[in-house]
Amino acid sequence: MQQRDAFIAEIHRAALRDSKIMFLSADLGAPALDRYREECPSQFVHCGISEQNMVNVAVGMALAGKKPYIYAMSPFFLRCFEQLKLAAFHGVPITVVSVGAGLSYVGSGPTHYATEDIACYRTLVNAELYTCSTANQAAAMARKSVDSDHMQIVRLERGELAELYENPKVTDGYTILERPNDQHPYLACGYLVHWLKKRGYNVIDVYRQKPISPLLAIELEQYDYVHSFEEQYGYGGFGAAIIEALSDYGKKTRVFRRTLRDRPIYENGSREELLASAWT
Amino acid sequence: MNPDELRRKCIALLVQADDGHPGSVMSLVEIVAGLDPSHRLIISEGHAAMVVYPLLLERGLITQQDYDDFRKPGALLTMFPHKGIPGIHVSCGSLGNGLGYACGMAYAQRDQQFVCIISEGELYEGSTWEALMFARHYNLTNLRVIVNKNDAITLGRPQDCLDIPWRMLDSFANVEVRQTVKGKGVPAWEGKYQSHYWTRPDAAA
Repeated sequence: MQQRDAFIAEIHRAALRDSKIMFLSADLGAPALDRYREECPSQFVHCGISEQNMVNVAVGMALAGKKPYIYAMSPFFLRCFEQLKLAAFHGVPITVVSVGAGLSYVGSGPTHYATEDIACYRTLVNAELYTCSTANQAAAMARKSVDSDHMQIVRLERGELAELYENPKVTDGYTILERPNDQHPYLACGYLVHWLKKRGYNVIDVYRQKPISPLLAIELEQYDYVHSFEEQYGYGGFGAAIIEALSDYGKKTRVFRRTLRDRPIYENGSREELLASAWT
Repeated sequence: MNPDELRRKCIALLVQADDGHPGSVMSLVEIVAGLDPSHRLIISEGHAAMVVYPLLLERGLITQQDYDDFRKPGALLTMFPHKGIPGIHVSCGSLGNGLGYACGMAYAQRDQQFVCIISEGELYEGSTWEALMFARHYNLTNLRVIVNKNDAITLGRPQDCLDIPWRMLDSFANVEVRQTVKGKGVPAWEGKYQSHYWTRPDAAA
């Protein structure tokens, strides 16, 4: 199952009980959304290909007591970054459901890659930022979002990825995967958790990028260095968040970052092939 | 409150703060004074929205102390009204966003009447047209949109800067264009696009 369908199916279940839930789409679909629209037509709003207005409408709805979810492709949420900033100021329970993290839309080129959004979202006040690595983690995130009273931003991977967790936790901010060796850990989120696991590394799935858990800083304290891998440019991205947290919590652990080189990615190829040439 | 009284109070507030956007504030006085108080008002052009402060005081939503402390450090009332102020439903200030907020509110509360005032300058923002299309498609008859046409943007008259295709608004019901006068009532401000930014009312006209 794709993460988006797992997420929407949970929202669907919640919406049947809670008429305050509204699901807004900027013309992005999903099989699970088709079922939602069928069964909860009064809680679905097609906003047209108008991301800026979708965010503003969601703010208005939230101020009127609704619980809006706004759904669009990840790269296009950057078009309405200012509206997201203003939404965050209002301290309303809006959940951003962003589909296509990193190079998810492989083959479409840099207009369709979400390679700057972690850096942007991390600056939003009173907002939490998540990236899901599995469908059942996305479902758990959806359940958590229903009870939130402030902005949640959830980055979902496109396509199907294997499940990694029996009972995914989404409250701690990170999950340490089973350690195949005694090497230093590799930190990542989303698709790259799978990429690293496949290659036999010790992986920590840092599914929450804002705020980084203080417990993660304490966990990493035992290492003189760790690695971070990301599909973001280096400035302000995933690895930068880890470095800041370690520094803020007074830890001396160094972070060796693998980030995208400072250039657009136009090449053809699989996601793995793109990464091989795009990484620093 | 009659327009003359509202105008006098706005001038006094601006002078007390020795700052603000007098041209836009004064151009809104007549529109705002004439609105039904039971309608929920969203002023998208946040720089002018302080025009409602005298009305908030009159309706007992804020105290005389709040009113007197306008723009003082730590005081409730700011140049751009925010939703922490009783009677202000949403924080505005960045142009082109208020109408979208109003659409979301009007969609969620069909039994409540809403009025959204936008400036003509906001017709340059694509997000305004996104919101107009949304209001039209979802038939938000409980949302009235008033365009404050005071013939001024920061650098001059719109027609001298980048002309606005007014007839495009004909496709939208519930949108009315109100001809107003920038800086009305004060010679130093009246009809002057320069009064978008602060100039003292006793400056040479």
